[in-house]
Amino acid sequence: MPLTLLIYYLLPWRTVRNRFLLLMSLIFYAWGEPLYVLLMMACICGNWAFGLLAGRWRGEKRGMLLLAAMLVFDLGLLAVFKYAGFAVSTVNSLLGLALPVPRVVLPIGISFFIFQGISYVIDVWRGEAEQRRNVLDVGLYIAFFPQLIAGPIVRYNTIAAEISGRRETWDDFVSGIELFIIGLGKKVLLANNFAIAADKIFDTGGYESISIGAAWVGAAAYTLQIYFDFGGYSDMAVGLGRMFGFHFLPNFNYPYIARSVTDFWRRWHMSLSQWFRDYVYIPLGGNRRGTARMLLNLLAVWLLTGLWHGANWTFVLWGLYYFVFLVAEKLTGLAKVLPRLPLISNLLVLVIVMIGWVLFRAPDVDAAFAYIGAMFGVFGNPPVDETFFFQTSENAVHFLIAAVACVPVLPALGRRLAAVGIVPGQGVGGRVLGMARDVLLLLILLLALASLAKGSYNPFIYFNF
Amino acid sequence: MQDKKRRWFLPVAFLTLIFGLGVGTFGLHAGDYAADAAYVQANYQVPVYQRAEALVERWTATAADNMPGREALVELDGLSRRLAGKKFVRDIDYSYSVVKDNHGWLQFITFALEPKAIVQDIASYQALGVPIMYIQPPTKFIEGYTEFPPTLYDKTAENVAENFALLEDAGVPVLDLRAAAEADALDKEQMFYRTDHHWRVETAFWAVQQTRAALAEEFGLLIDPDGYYSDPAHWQSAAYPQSFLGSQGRRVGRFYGGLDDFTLLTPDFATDYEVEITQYGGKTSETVSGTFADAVLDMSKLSAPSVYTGRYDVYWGADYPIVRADNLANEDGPRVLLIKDSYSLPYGAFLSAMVDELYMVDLRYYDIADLAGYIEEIAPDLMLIMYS
Repeated sequence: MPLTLLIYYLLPWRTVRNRFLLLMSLIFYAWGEPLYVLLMMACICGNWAFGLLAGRWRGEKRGMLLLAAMLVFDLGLLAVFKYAGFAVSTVNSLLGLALPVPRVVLPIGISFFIFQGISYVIDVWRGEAEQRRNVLDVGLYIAFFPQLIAGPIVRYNTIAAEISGRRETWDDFVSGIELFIIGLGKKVLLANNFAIAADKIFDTGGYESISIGAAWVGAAAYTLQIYFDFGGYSDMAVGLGRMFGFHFLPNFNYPYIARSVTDFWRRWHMSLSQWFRDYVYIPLGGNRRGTARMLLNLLAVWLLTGLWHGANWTFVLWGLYYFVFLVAEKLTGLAKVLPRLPLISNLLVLVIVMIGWVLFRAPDVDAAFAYIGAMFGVFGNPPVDETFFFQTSENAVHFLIAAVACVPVLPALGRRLAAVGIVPGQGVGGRVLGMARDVLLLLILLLALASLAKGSYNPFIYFNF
Repeated sequence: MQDKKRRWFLPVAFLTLIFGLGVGTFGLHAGDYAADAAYVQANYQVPVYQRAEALVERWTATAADNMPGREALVELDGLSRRLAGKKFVRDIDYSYSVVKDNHGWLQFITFALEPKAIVQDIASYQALGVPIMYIQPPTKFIEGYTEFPPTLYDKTAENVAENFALLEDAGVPVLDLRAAAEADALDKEQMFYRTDHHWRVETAFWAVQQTRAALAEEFGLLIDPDGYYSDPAHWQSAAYPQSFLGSQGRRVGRFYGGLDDFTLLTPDFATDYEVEITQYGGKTSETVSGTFADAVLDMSKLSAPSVYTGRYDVYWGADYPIVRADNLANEDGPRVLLIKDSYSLPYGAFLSAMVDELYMVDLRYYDIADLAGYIEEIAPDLMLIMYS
């Protein structure tokens, strides 16, 4: 990263800088996937070609064929590399066959860069952005290293203008550093810590005998792990993008303070839900063709959302799980009622979300149901056990920090201080506040680097994506 | 409008840190990365992308070793974990995760293991006609004394029991130093280093005394018949207080687990050695001749100021595939083959003063397939196995 920053800012022109970023992005990807970088390059070339034609055939019938061909190409790549094994296993199970199950290694980040490729072509087709004549510009959009592996899914129309017309500013650079540090801290100091507890409880198995308390601690640990891991990577991506002058949209907005499941999905992985809304739900008709059609459209979206996360029935179930709650809220009007009952709705949504994460985390459907059963003592589970006591005490400090980090306490504090004239950097009080914030950020950075230098447990949970 | 003063501190600190780390990790060690590339090129006859994967793996490990200020960062990490009350520090390699036990000692977790190949195949070595004794050192996880935090389990006792069962079936005498330590009421607090997985040097010396007694009882073999060399009164002790951060401590820093005192025991009698070391890859180093201090000790392990220095390697310098120590001052003593791991570094040093020739073979670096042939070649009077 330091070398990339240094060379980038030494390079004279926008075009040269873009080519350099693309080169570094390809090297970054090749570092982990020396073979599959070719696949990504094929995805770039394919979508660039489709984009050229989409711009030329915009509004024409053959444009629709082109879009279909693009979807076959992009989704075909996903089908082969991500779902082939799952599909064949499912067919074997359903039909009692013994077809050879292909064992294809999933290229890291394929779900992200394929979706960005699709976004590019569709946005050009819709006239929301102009096609790029130069494949290298498309390459930069699809392969840009900050968001390549773990998102956010950057919609082409949101940054199309910035590929050629962005302006790097000092303010952006500094806020990018702040975001990067916060993201790094979330991932390394919080997510990695909760991963240890979550893995310990989930991977031990024997859910019929673990205590109710331990089951909830495991679910809570995973709930926090996935938020701080994913949210951390997103913050780092947005921060890094800003250092290079790009303004990616945020991906998370304090999802665990949501007061309805509908609200939760407006705060969680926003880039994905917006992608499905704009490229699947609305084109299918959204809620404009009657209730029955709306329900079908929602079902399609949530089945696909579940499948996008991984080739396993647990993810499909997870998607359907949220479909049920979202439909229930829509049809009953609860989506509007719940927010008026703050604490109750917060708790209810949190419980729903935590159970959803159990579906997400469990290795298979049976294990998921067994775990959820343990959470409610279905097997006569004891209320607490040594696992519960140990994991609670071992992670007490981190649970406390995480609880504060899950709610917008600091932004609210910032607003209150600003209301009384204390703004970071202005006046004596503001300068003290600004320095304190910078020292804290530096401490977070050092602690995160320390954890990485030590060789701490650093799980990568995006192998399904 | 933002105050420009604030805007400089964080970005300058951030950039200084990452550039410093970058330059220190990569720039100052370019040769190491070039060497990795050459190694992969020479040794990996596989498709290009697999060579690339291997190279990335080696470069990643090299970067981890070369990171500047790594020790300071480890200390900071350990301090933060101590403040957070952590009793379990998970490592990227689970087997190197550190546990703080009920006495505040640092421990690695021992998993269930298959008995070592040499134990499983002990009959083939018995057939060579050399008397064999298996020595079980005391274990840092002391049954009935050590406790791990809940849900963390140590399998040392089970592994040892499995080994014993096989050895008993084969009729191999076993010296169980765990029981001997209990019988001698050794101070459990002082048997091991708090921050290292090894026994203390003093405990290793006691183990040699126990071995001497056991050999006399089991085989009628008298090493050091007068008890001169095994008398601690004839050994000098040099203390290095608070100077040692052991194998476990180096993973979590001194603020998490503390520091150990280190004691160096050296003969207070005349010594004359010839030591030959076989390095990795079979290359034999030059023979070193001289006193115990000249030939057996690597004093750089104690003179280096950093507590991260592997002090325990002061005896012999490191673990090697084969070490041959010829004690020229004791040509009447037996020729002993010691199948070892790192526990035998001080143990072998003390034993060497009581025998004529000591051959130490470390099966972690020596191919066991060659062992029977080697035994026939050197024809030892006795084979000790302290390898668990």
